[in-house]
Amino acid sequence: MSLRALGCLWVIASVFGFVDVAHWSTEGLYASYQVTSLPSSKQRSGLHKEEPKYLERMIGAAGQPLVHSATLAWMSATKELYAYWYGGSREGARDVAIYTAKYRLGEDQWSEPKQLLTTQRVQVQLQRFIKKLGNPVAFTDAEQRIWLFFVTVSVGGWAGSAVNYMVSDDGGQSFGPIQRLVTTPFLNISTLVKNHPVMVQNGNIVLPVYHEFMGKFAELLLLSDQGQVLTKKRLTWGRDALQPVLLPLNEQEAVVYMRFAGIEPNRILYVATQDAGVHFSKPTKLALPNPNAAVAAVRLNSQELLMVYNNSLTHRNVLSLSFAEGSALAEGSLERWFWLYDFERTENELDRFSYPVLLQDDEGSIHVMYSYNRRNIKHVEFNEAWLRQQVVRHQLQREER
Amino acid sequence: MDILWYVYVTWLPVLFACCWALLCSISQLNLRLCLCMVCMGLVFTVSIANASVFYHLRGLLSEPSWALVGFSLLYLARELSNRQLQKRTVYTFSWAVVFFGYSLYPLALGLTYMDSYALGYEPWVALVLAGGLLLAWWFTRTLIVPLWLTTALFAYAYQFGESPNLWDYIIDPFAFIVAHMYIARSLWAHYKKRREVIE
Repeated sequence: MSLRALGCLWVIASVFGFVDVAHWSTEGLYASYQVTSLPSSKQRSGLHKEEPKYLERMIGAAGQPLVHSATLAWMSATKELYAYWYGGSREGARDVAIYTAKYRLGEDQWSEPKQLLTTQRVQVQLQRFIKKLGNPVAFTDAEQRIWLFFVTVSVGGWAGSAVNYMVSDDGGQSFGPIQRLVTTPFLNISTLVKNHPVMVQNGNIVLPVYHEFMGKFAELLLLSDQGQVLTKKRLTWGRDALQPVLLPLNEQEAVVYMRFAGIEPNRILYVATQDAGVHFSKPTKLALPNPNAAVAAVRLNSQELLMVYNNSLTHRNVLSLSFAEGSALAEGSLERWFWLYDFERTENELDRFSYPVLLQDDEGSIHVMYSYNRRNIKHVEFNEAWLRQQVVRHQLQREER
Repeated sequence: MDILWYVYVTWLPVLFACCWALLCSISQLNLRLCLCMVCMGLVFTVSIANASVFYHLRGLLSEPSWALVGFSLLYLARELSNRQLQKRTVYTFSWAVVFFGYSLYPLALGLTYMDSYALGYEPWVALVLAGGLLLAWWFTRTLIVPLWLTTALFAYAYQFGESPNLWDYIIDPFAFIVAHMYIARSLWAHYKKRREVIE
């Protein structure tokens, strides 16, 4: 058989392979966002009649000198909140492991933290050298599976990160095999996660990620419900934006807030879409400050938006809560954020209250979790009644002024 | 699908070529072959920081692209067979790798909103792109380039590797560097030859 005929057969075999996998991209990124079902007016009035609730708790550091980058997942079936974070002797050390603890709604305490993942375990499963572990991001899908995304580094600093995930089918009791996401052509380095993914209506998952190698820019990864990367969408370019937070406002509109890593003035960045992710606006700065620190945001069941951020241009010693009317983008309300409350405020500029995560559970409680000087993980729980109280207080103060 | 066999299929020629090149000072072929095998064995057995050298290599580069495998095979073919490969083959291959590298890496670095790497997730776009290039090269009668691209396409289509992106089967940064080195060496040799002729 001539070489040319052999070549022809080779090409035909490849094309048949394509036909087999061509269904991957038929739906693309552009399936509508799945937004939380809105409570009825009766339910909402019920929420307003609740007693205001505001609780603070610390999670034990499990004997680790450093704990950081907490994330939360809510299991509605068991009414339990799962927290994951990393801890070890110092950031980037080989002894850094991912820890977890559980909190049942209505109880006073978090469970004792336990070690979930070590570099050694990840190394064995992925069959490659793993130098350090970083940023976990937890997420519960529609089938009540907990997805735990996390960062691993084989070479260099955080710019050498790759994203991995594992899935739990039994409510966080055990996790399946670790899978690695391939997201860049540079030895698959420089992709990190920080904030919750969003599920779209066809069951796919949109995971906000960012890059730190040479450029600092944000992207959205579209994953199938089996965790395979289907495609990705670049949100920014250059060296300005990190740690995107994706908030769907309705089926077509969404906004992405980002940590700003560029040249002053230091403000939170955002981009928005009005066609379910086909196009995004150019990055714009909010009025809210950002000292090159992570932000967290959530769209409440009552449609308003909440954001937790470091309310300073330069340091992380102030951690605040802000509020915005979350109606359509067309109303331009996204830039009308106003301050509500300081979770932390100290004079010591070395204090660091950082890497917040924000989540509203099915019962209406809002949970904030953040690193408390990197020595503890702090959990703040409040309800919408407390939030209304703060809004009213803020309005009164404004009228007085 | 278990991708382990694919990892070894792509890594073995690359490792073998590297070991062979490292032992270039040994002129006796059989001795060099034996030592090469020993070196490869050490890659899988010697442990640094609780991980074998192979784990470290995989930490750096999950699976070599078919461009790197191609360079390794071309090098080994030249070294192990008496038949002298046409220099033009390697030269054309290097230029093709450089072309693909420059259409991928600058945009993937975040220089613009356009991300050429994202195209690699879209089978139809990739098929059209690769098909067009394949045809172009097919008519230039250079076998190495269509062979490289169709092998990458084949591996991608059947998802033999870890990556769901066509680019990762076509090219990797090491192949891009090797291609530059080969072109630079060829151009330098050409320049020196011309100077000698003039003198």
